[in-house]
Amino acid sequence: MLRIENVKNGNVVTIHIRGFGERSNEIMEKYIRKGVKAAIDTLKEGAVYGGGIAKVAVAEKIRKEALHGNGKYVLAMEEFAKALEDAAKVISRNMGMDGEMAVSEMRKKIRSGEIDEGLLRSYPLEKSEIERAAETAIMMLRISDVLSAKPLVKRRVSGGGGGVIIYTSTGCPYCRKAKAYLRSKGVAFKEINVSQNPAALQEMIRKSGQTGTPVIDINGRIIVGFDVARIDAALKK
Amino acid sequence: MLPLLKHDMQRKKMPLDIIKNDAEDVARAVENTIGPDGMYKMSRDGDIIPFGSEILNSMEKTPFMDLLARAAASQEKEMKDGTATFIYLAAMLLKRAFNLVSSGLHPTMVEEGYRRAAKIAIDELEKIKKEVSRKEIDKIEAVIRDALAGCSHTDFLLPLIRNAVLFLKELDDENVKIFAEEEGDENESEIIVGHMLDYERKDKDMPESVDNARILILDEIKVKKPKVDAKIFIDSEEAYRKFADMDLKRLREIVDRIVKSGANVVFTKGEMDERAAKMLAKHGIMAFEKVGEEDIKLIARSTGAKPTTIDAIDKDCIGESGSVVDEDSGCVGGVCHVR
Repeated sequence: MLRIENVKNGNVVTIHIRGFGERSNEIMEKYIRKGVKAAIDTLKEGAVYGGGIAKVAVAEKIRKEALHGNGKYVLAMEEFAKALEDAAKVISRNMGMDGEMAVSEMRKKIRSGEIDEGLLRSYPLEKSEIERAAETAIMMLRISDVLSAKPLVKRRVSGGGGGVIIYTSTGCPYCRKAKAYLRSKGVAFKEINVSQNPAALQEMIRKSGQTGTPVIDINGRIIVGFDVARIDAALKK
Repeated sequence: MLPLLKHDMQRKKMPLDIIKNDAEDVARAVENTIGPDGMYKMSRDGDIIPFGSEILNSMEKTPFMDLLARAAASQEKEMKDGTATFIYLAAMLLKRAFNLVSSGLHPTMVEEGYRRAAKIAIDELEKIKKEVSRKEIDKIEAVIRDALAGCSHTDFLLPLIRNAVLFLKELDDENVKIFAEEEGDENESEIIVGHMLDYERKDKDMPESVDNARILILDEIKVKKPKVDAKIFIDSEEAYRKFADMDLKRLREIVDRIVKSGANVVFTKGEMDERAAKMLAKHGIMAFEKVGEEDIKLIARSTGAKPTTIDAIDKDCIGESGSVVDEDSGCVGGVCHVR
């Protein structure tokens, strides 16, 4: 593991997390990316009230403007505002409150200008939700008509022939790379960690004649180490 | 208007009432997950789905759902968040649109109303938004908390994310990297102004760490095979030694150039001759071979090192960092030894 610290240009930061295991790491990375983006977007473009408050504030404004309109579209504007409030109600309900009451409380506070600032969201995020939802709804309206619709079949990723086993050890970077490589090829594999499993370790030694990891068994062909060329060759057969 | 789904205008049309039923199903499926206290969901196979955006994947696909899923994927890709809320809003807008149309309002009127409302919504958001400066730590933490809704390790991640972002000179998502190790103590998690990468030094006799690193990036350190114009007969041990010596001589020249440049850390894109590595080790220089192109770019950008060739080495190519450390993990040449 190579660590390059305090780089001269100071323009890169690495968040180094330890001890959460492979599956958790995927989820952790996703959350970290969410959090990083929210913080950066906020510093760049600002924040709005969270917890549904911004949606209620915006719904109020839409209703106000609708009063000046003259045409049947005004009814649709009203429904748009209601949809925003639907979302705010559900958000409040998930926080354990009564949806209706919470939203009418929010309306009161917005009108009188006394909002307490606890919950905040990134402004670009809030904007993207509303903009995209409006776009999608309008698109759906345009393409709706009377015709039958067929359900779609989900694409299947082809697994690579029944027997791929990879023997790994704890804290082994080449094992990680080998697994990532197999996944990128859409190859299903069974992983056996030999670090806590003496029987599996014996099996691995028997198959490969040595104690290093990873050992990859592709339908009986044994490959020692992360060796892309030999893995590819074995997968072809 | 977001440039979204325009090509779908060519697709088959769908009955609005089918869309409405799908919309209701979808709204019901995601509604528990939205907002700062949104919950996890369980899929039919018993997996826990921590992100609202993945709920669509476990539902039956109809053309409406397919379009919705693609818009949701677009939200996910662009903003990494807000997908479940987007899905819910889109579903409710559609459901209400259907009610309007069935009570006699023409779809074009509905569209007109929605368009105007959307424009007002965007303008109003712009008005009510507040700037947040780097000093307002509690506000920064509040938006991070919102983004981490549903995470069971929020208290652990929050300070890491906050500090990482505050360390950045340039506010860009790309400047924050993540290196996740399965092993180790979570209390040893940390932020580095720099990189964690998966490489080991070429020779074990090289130092494990170097302070005040002066970094050089080269193509490769190899001796080229001589061009065979004339017939060469290796008919004696002496002749064989002559060729081996030529190689060593060339490698020594290369190593001298590196040492003269003042570099104490070398990265090569291609291979590094083992003998050269041994020589570098004697000079107390750390070296790493077969460094990927993306990683070379990262290192160059952050340290100021300019990738060069052996013949063109000069002081301007040298990059700098506080330290370079090889945390030896017992792995060399593609194989890790089980401890």
